Amino acid sequence: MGYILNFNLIWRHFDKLWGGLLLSLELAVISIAIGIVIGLVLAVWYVSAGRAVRTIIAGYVEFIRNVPLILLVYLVFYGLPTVVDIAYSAQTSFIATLSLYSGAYLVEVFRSGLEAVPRGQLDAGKAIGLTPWQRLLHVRLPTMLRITLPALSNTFISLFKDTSVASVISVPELTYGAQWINFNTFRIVEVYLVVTAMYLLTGYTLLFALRLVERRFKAAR
Amino acid sequence: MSNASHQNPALLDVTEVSKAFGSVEVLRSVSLQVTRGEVVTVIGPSGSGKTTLLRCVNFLESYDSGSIRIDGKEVGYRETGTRQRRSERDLAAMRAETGMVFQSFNLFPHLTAAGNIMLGLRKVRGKSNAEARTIAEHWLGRVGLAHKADSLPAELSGGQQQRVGIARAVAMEPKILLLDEITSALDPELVGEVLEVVRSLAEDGMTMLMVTHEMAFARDASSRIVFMADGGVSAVGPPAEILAAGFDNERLRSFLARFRASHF
Repeated sequence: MGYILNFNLIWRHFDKLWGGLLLSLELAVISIAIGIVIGLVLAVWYVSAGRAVRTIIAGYVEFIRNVPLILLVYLVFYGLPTVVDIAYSAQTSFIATLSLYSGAYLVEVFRSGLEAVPRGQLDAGKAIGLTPWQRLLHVRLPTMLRITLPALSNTFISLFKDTSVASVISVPELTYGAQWINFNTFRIVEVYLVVTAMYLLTGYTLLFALRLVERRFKAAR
Repeated sequence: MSNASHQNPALLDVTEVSKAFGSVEVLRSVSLQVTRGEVVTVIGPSGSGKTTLLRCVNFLESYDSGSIRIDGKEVGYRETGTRQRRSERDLAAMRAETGMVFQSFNLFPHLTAAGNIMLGLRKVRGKSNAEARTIAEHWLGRVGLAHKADSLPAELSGGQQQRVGIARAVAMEPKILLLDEITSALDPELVGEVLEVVRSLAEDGMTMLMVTHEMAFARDASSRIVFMADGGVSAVGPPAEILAAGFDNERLRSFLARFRASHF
């Protein structure tokens, strides 16, 4: 009631938001890259392993998927260093956490993709004399990628948004920047409007780019 | 026939091969020889073990007992006293010597027609990209698809896909080509173009073992026909003999009678 929007203070501190956005993207890209490696290795291992390995991998996935991300962030940043003798910055700690987190989700995506590759294609790979590694590399993974692309896009966008959790351990990403401006200017509505717009725009841009990639691959189906 | 096989030892020698899936015996002591340049067709009711037999020849399926030899070399198992599965590397090398064409084509969907043919040439035969491309184009020309080299499988008709499937198999210069009901998934009007390719390969002397329901084609193109029933070889002979109405085999006669009733 009677609140007059005033964005001037926001623009004055916009470098906090811009720098925050860049850091959010950096956190997302690094964590997703590590998560992809974790996800691929564990998914390939899972589909070719015996029950013991499967149980362990499934345990990791279920643990991560059933614990809130914010709790994992606290556990790794505050909990781990008090138990074992290691020291790391908040940013490193968050990247480690989000990597493990994205890895768990990506194992599931890749695993279901690998299992969805038609048996006939693997037979065809065998029939021309490809070794198991060659079949994985040249037949199974390319088909898996094409199958999982839509699910991958969704996971990537989700993980980008999840970087906002880093603000709870003072990593100066976009949400943290917003909090800082809010505390220092009390323009709570303005700053969160601007930050929402920034998340939205970035998310849409990512989605658009990923859809382009998907379309390219779909044409190849 | 036995004279011929003395002069010309069998390229493919299947001896008393048996296989069971659980308690179901799918192959019962199957024996079968194919000599170089021969086209042998396997016919029989569904569930008679035809496809399983074919898949054992390149070890897409293992078998429980008996032996399968190609050019004298045991497929799938080591030739030392105990029965031991070959290493994956050995199996891959042996499979490269047999070509297979599938009922459902099974082209690699992410590769073009040429790419499908080139994959094995490059990764298994060690050809350079350019060499592989030249060979791929040669075989695409042979199957009448030179203009489709850069098309993806999804852009091809079923008949075209299957012709690429054949080109992919023969480009590897296999000793024997296995054809597993390759026209069964095709619309009737596309069957002819695929069979035409097979016929021309047969004329070139390609050794083939095929499972088919195309009786007219089997009659025209085969050197011999094998009739399988209940996992065993029930009759073998030249097409004219096997497909003759009066052949002395009750099961074969009833199979052919049912076949004619449903197809003509």
